[in-house]
Amino acid sequence: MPRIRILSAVLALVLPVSLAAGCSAASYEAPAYGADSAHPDGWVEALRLEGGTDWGAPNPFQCQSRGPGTAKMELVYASLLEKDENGDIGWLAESWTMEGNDYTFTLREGAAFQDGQPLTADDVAFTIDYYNAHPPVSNPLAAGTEACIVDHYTVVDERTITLTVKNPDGDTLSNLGSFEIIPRHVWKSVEDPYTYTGEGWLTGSGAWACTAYDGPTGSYEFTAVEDFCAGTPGAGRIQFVPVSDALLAFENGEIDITGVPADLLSQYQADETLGFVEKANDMGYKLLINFEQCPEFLDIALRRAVYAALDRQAVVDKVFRGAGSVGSAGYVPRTSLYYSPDCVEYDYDPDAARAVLADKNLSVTLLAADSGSDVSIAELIKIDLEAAGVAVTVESYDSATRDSMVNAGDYQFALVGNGGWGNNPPTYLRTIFSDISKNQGGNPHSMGPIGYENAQITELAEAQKLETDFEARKAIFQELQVLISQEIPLIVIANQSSYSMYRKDVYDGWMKTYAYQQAEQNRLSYMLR
Amino acid sequence: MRRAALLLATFAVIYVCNFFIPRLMPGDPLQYSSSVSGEDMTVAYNAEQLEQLRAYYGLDQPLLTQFGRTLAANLRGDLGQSIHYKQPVSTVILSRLPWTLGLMAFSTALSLPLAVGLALLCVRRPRVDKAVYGVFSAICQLPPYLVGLALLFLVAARVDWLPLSGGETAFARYAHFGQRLADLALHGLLPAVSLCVVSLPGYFFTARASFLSVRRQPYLLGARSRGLKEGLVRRRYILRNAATPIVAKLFLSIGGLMGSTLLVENVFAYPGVGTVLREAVRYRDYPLIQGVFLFSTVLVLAGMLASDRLCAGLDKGVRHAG
Repeated sequence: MPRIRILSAVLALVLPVSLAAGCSAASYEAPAYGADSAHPDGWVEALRLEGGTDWGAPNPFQCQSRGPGTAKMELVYASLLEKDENGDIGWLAESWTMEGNDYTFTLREGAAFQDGQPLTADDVAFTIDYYNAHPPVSNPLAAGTEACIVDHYTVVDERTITLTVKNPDGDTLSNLGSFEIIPRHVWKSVEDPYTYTGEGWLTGSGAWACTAYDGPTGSYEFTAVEDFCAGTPGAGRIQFVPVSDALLAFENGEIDITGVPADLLSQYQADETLGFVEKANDMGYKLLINFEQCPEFLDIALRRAVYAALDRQAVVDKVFRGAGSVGSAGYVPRTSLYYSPDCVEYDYDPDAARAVLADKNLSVTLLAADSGSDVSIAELIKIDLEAAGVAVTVESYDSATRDSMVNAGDYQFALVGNGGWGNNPPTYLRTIFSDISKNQGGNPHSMGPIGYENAQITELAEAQKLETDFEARKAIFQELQVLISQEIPLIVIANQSSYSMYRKDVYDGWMKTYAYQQAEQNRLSYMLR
Repeated sequence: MRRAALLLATFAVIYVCNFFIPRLMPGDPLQYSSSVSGEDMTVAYNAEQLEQLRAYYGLDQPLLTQFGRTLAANLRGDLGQSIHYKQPVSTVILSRLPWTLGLMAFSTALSLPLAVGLALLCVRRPRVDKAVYGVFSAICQLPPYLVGLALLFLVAARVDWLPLSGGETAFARYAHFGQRLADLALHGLLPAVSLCVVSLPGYFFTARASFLSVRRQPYLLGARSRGLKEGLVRRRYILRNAATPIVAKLFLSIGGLMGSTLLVENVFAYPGVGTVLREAVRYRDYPLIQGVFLFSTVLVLAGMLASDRLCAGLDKGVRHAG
């Protein structure tokens, strides 16, 4: 009997102790900063967004290199330039000049880190050196590799630095302006930034200080930095709070912005207090053909027949519930600034497809992921192709396995879906279609056709990068799209749009940049403008 | 001693499997690039950068070399660096472990006494026994995540005071520790009830069978014939003599409970090891998968060892008392 009592006592003790232990989970709490003086119009005390996922500590070394992780880091850290709806704008840099290979940036007066230390050109130089010495930091300089775009730098004075690049091209200014500046006085003595959690590990140069980060619960709090040199924050605090169902949490007023499924969109659109941000055609699906395993499809007549066989509007209607559009055969979505209306359109024509494909006795395996809409789309493709006379076996795997098989070329047909199609085409078109740059791995936008080469496409895809004039570059892109739509290196299935919904009376500053459609992940969304 | 050696050998086999099986899965932790809109990759590592990453995590070495290095590091108490979370594996696990253990303890504290109490009642009341037995037979094989989902949508979504998810109210400021404890208990309630629903039948069946077997023993007749009160008979004779299988069941259930907890945590976005394991598998974070399974293995084997020792002790105690 005493043992039973002991057991009960142990359980009674374990429960509160274990629950209390939850309180000791690793967390970071910094002293609060804040704007508590008079507030301008549009300012809100706190913005609450969906959290609950640990996207890593918000510093350049430890954040996860996906949208939500990078976005949180970019709240805390600032770069020389920022992107708005139309192009690059000054951020830590108030001005910049370009001359040959030299890009000279002048920092804003009063630029400072969140611990009060001034941010100088030496910090910019140190950041480049440090990134070079501790690769691979997720940065657009390719620091620490042969491909690093910066050849050397010259610190002109406390506020001015000249970065000399190896080969200037159309992306150089954006890339030089996009790496986050870290404080020299914190990191100069840190040997392994990937494990460092000591003093200053989250001291940034941005408009928001990380005042709370709790990995296990996926909670983040960012507090506005007073006197940030590049603008005025639109909220006193930004909090990412754990929720299980974001829409339910939005309706309960627990969060101020959320995604809304296409089916429910019309139900909410009648409410005038709600605002919406459309992420037009941001998710896209393409059908890759491994021409090494399916050499028959090197015949362009067969690829045209595949387009004709596929009822791609059915994908939009049945799978995306109408929220999206049939993909342009030139790859760039129809809503993009770069989209070419001259691309060849391939209509659904099952009879024409059958006329070409039926007597070929073709049989293919279609690789797909087992998540999201992939299996549904794969099944629709199978139905259409089989109706045209091509036997299709769908093989679905988890996304990581699918990615691995695609990267290894271990497929015949592969359905690949990913977000980011609504981003800036210069960031992805070359790495999919240029025979020099495609299939480098590590990103879905580098998964191009295998066993297919096209010198003309490669030439245009590489040439656009060297063009620094926007209109001239856009013209090359449009020519490239037309060529892609004619040559069909891959089949573009459809693009899916998604929507964010927010309460206008709480905060109305959400925006999209010319290069990125996720309003919640653009730091300008959190600034008064 | 023999039992300890057997457990040690089991541990060694599981350790080797934990190392090799995740690495034999298709997929690559550094080339997992699938995304949905909003979670896109924000960087495209070039080939040289991928090699740098492989070297940093030791993935550029042959598998046997990796195993040797991992073993040596583990023996030093270093579980390695999580590729996905970019933190030491021990930090990731230890920061989530209290949540998982707390939830397991909470659900056990609910289910075990309830199961034992119900079993005691059922052995005395055949009608109640018939009903409870039937219900528990029906629910004993329910998957815990299904119970969790049902509770989430049928209960939490309709009741204001029950949180939908998470382990505690984010950014709350508590007046005192008791208030925080209450908040933690409230957040843990539905996950714990989900676990309780699926673990309750197991404890109940064990306790019931044990009580029924003890009930037929002649010493009970002797005790009652000596005029001992029924409460004393139940506590001193029935509970004590039936305790061994129940305690054994408690410790042997640790593995199953752990598995159920990992699933239920995902339903309620509860910040435990379960959510970490899901992400680790999804992103092929080998060191983290290995760390979580290592911890689970140790917990299950320790539970088995504790079960052996406690049962032996209880049996000895009962014999002495007898």
